[in-house]
Amino acid sequence: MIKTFIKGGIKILLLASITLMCLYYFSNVLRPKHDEIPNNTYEKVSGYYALEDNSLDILFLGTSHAYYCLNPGVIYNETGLNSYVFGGECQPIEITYTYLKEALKTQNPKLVVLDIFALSNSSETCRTEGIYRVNIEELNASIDKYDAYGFIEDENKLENAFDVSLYHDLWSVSNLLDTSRIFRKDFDESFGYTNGIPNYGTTWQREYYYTDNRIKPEEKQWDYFTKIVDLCQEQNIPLLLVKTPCYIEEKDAAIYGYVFDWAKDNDIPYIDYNMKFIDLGYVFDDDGDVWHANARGSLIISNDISKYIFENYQIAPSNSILYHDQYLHLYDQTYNTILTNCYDYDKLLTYLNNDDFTLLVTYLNSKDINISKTKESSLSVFGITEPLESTNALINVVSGTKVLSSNIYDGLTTEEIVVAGKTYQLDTSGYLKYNDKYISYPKCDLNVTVIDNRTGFVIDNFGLDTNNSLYISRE
Amino acid sequence: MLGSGAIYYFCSGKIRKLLLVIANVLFYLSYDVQSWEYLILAIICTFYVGYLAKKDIAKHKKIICFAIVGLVLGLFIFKYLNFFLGSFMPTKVFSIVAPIGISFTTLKMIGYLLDVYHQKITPCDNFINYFIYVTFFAQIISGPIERADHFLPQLDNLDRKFSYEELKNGLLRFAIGAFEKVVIANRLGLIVNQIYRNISGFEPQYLVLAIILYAFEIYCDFDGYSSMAIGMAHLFGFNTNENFHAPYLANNPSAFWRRWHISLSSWFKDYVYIPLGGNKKGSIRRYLNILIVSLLSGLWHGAALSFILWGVLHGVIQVVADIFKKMHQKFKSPLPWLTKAISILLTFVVVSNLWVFFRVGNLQDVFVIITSIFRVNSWVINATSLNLLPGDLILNFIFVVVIVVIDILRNHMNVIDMFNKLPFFVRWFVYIVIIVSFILFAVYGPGYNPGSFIYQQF
Repeated sequence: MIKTFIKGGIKILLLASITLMCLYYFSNVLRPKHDEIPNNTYEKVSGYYALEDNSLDILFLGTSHAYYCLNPGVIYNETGLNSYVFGGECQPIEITYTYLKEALKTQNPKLVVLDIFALSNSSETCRTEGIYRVNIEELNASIDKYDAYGFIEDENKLENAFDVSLYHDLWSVSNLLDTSRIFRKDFDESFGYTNGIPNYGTTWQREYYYTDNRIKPEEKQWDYFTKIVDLCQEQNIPLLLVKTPCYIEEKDAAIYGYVFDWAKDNDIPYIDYNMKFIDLGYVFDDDGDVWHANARGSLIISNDISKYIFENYQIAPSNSILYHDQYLHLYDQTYNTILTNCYDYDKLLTYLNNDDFTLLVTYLNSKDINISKTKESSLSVFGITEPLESTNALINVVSGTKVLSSNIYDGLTTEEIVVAGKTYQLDTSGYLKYNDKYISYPKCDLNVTVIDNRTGFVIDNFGLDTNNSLYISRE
Repeated sequence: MLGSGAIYYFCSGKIRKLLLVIANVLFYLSYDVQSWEYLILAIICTFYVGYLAKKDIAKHKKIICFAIVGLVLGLFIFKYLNFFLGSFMPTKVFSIVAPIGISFTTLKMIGYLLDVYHQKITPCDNFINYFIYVTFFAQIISGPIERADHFLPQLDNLDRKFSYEELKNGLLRFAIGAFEKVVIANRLGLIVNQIYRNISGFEPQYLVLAIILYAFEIYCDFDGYSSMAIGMAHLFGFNTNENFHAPYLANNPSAFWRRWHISLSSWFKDYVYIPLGGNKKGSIRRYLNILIVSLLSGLWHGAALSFILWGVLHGVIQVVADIFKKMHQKFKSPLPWLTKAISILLTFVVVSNLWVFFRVGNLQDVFVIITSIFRVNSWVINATSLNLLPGDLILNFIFVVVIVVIDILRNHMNVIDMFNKLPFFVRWFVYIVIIVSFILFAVYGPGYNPGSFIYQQF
């Protein structure tokens, strides 16, 4: 009798375990993958889990304001510190608290940077079931995740423990890749950052918005905000509060002002970029739209925050080599977005005047040259100091202010140029070859290719139309 | 309920009985219960009538008849009064809601009283036993209509020891039933509902598809429920009768009724058809009896003209089939298997077309659907027209095939016994397939009411 009872019990337990495993597995397989840029929560969260344990120096938390503005590639380039933006779309602050708890399970950051948009009045519209779900679903199964479902009003937490009940009908649109997702670690090469593409020609200068009013954020938000502060203190991790640039109204300004005062009283540093952006040369909507910075804006803010971190925190890099290539690649990607979307000649020159880049400049004679004297002198950035009328053909290699080589030819000639160990074949007409494959074609008579010195990654190539006052031409 | 089943095994007979009462009440209360007072009153009265009959049956026969009339009247008031008065008056006269399961409990109580009247059983003298019998949670919503002589004696034998085999078989039967209901019936229902919601919006071939799929939907829904009820009863140590036996493999309409909702058909046979004379008073009387029983069966299913027509038409086809059979009695088919296959197919076609009366109340729509086969120009079924992906449609087709195959097996053997004889790994593979199918293909989750069954409305 007892033997049968035990035997039966074991079988029932085994069957129950198989059922639970199936529920867990299919919950992961069938859950919608929010992996489309810009709010690619799947990549951002799974990317965090794919990081080596204790490899992070800086943890960025917050909403889309954080992941559009705080650029780990730029931070790394400036400070050598590893960072990750662990944030989700419109993320309510209580979910940010869950993210912090989740983050600290595998990482031991030396600084936590929190964007405080979630405390604002504007973020109230974010508190929808969909937003909560999107931000919770990708987290690994844990008690914290289970508790987080409780933030959704009238939500059945048990039903969410295995959310296959919500998504099982998606079996018909799932693919083979989904079935292995649970076993994979999908590294996010953007480190949680989203590269916003700048709109060209939408410049509109905004003034600082200042108010003497002070409004405390909603009790629930404030409660979780203080929990984040307490958790950082418990873990002995310095906390830096930031507000990335965005349009603000009276109530939001009063809330940010309240946080500013509170932070000051509690010795917690707080950088409000809404009160700093003009000084930094950040221009709405050229560098960011109503809510988010774009690649240009992220470069400005991330450079500034890097400077702040460098000056105020003595952080020894955990493991700079670990993701060296990936961080530099992100840096190049950022510049690629910035440069390829820049059609303002003067602005372009400011970006190109960078020691990190090598410019490969080619010129093949033009019949009609129509460049003003001022513009002609600006060609020195490309190593061209003689009037183009007197030149038949040339290939210049320039980095920052240094001209590494300058060769004038009679006609069509090819040179081999080595950057970061990569050998490129470049001819005077502007054709660029790598590994016997064309990677760039001439756009005009004067062509420029921008390559990162450290990675050899081609960031941009464009032509300058000498017949048309150096008009920037791209394919 | 499964939880209370687990506790049940660790208790003694008396506690088990108490647990059953609690389980019955809780299960009933889990539904939107209305007019429950009537049900309690009816149980008390019928028990008391039985109790009196035990003392002196001859003296109390009139009271039994009176009680039966009362039960019929109660059913009539709750279920049919508005329907009949509605024929004369434009608006609803009474706004009373029938207690859930009234049709099933009423037949159980009438059956009990008739058995007492005819002295086929000893009247129950234990109210708890009688209460458990009438309100047994596994059967109260949609049957099966268990007979008192089969169920009540089992209540005196509740001290049985834990049996792993009983538990396993009960759970397996429950799981099979749940699979039929939640995976197959509900999934087929998605297609059927779409088509029937917009009859004029679909081409004739879709209406034909709906006729076929609804036949399988209602079968899987009801057989699923019955299997769950039988499995659940098994878990609590009760042996209950089968309610279905591969009905779509019947080769004539009478055979269909011997295989479909067996507990109801046999109830009508034992308590209406046979008392009316059955088949012992000549062909004409026999056909009349069949028509009366069919009419009552239709009426029992619902207070609507479509149900009455459905019942009468079933009676008519039984009569026609019987006449046809008699006319060709001497005919010997050279290919008996082909004749049988054609008969099965014909029976299925007729039965599935008659289900349309069940599903669509409006007789004009019924006519449009049933005649759709004659208007079909193309047999192309496009999944996107049904808001489905091709995979969904194929899956439904696979499920229908699975049901047919299982029914063919059921027709020849006890599937559970056969399954238990399979090697360990095969059985566990089937378990896992069932679990995965449940997770992926079942219709469940937010917005789905797990307690909703087609037969519940009757």
